[in-house]
Amino acid sequence: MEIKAVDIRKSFGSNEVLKGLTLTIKSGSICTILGGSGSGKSVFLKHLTGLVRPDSGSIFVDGNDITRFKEEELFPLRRRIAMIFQSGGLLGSMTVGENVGLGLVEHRMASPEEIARVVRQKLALVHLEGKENEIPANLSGGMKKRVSIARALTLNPELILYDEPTAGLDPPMAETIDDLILELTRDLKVTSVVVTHDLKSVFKLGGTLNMLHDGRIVESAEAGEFRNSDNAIVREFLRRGV
Amino acid sequence: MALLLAEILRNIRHVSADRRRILRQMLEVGWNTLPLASMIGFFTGMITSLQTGMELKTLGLHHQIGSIVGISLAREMGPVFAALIVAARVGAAWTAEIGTMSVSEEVDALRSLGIRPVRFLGLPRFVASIIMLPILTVYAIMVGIWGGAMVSANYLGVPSRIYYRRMWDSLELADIRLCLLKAFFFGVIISIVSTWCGLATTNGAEGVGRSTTRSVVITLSLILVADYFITRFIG
Repeated sequence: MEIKAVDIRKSFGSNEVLKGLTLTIKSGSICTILGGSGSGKSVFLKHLTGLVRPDSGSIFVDGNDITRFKEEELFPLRRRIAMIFQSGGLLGSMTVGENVGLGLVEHRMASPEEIARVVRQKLALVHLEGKENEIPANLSGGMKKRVSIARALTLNPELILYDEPTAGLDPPMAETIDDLILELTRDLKVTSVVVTHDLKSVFKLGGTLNMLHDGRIVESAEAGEFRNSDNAIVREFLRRGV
Repeated sequence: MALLLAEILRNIRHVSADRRRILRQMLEVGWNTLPLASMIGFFTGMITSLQTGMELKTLGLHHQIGSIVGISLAREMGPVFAALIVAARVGAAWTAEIGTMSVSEEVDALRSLGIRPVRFLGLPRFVASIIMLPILTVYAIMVGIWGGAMVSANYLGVPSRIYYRRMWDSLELADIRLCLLKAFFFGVIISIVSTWCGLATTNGAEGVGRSTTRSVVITLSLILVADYFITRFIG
């Protein structure tokens, strides 16, 4: 799945968050978007699945401008795109197993037995075997993120969007999540877009790094080039993050 | 809210598929509200019987108390009080629950999975309300009538058989129809307002609190407005 965002502008009231963001995300790659808190990373990510609509600009998914889609037309697209929310987005009234199988149940994509099998398989992928009957309130932050990833995988997405996947996690758990992202991108051959301000994650994940500053992408390069960038904003960000 | 109602009605065909969620909400509206509805219904009947009966007794007309309690509960107090109970107890909880889901990205998560939040969250509550509120209303009225009978017998000196005879003689089919119609529309109001306020919630915990308060205020106001117009034009 190839995505092209062209001149995206978005304001919330008088606060202009995105000021002409342009970015191409190549199929099968890892694309990392980094920037400071409040720079609009999460807002941009939600544009890619139509959860937020731009004030102007276009987002092309496989050549189709999804900014022109009605809400009903976005639903089939959303089944191809998975989003891992910063807070996990798990439904608190459901168990882990019910959360993971939610998409399959609601879209009637399999029998109850098959759904149970898929749930077990996806939980095993994220190293959470046997946790089907737990409730989200009893899980750690890292476990919630992993359940969220397992849920996203049940619909076999072509694109996975990660919103600050390591936020609030201790370093070992953050590394676990990074390893998982790399594993999934490699083994399932999905495109991954990761927004983060965690520099350790950024350079571990590699791929194409994109610096978001003042509502625009100011630098886009592979990890090695990015680390040696002459761009003052990038240099300052890297300096503070070390 | 009109758009929300329209979308829920467009999804009515999914009622069978969503029956488990609907059943869960029906238990919440009906079964879990029974104790409160019993208490309020009972005391409403007793108070109505006591207040009205004392005045009637001075005129020597206290034997009519059964008809007055029956008609006032059926036409007015039964549906309105039952709706107020459900709005305060269940409607507020729905707004808080959906509002919390909105601010913690659970609603976004549903949308990102290709699941329509209005169908997933609104439809079960709508169907549960329009089914269970009329049932709960009838139950509250029956309990109220019984409470009124107890006061009549023990305080006003009106035997129960006379109380119930007068009540049955006075109550008409039109009264029952009006009662059920009001309960139905009140159920629509409670479910739509609570869902709408929940889905519109922003700004974290503070926003959830504001939405919940707003939901109760709007619901109670609309119930009374609807009560007037239904009584005026249909009653």
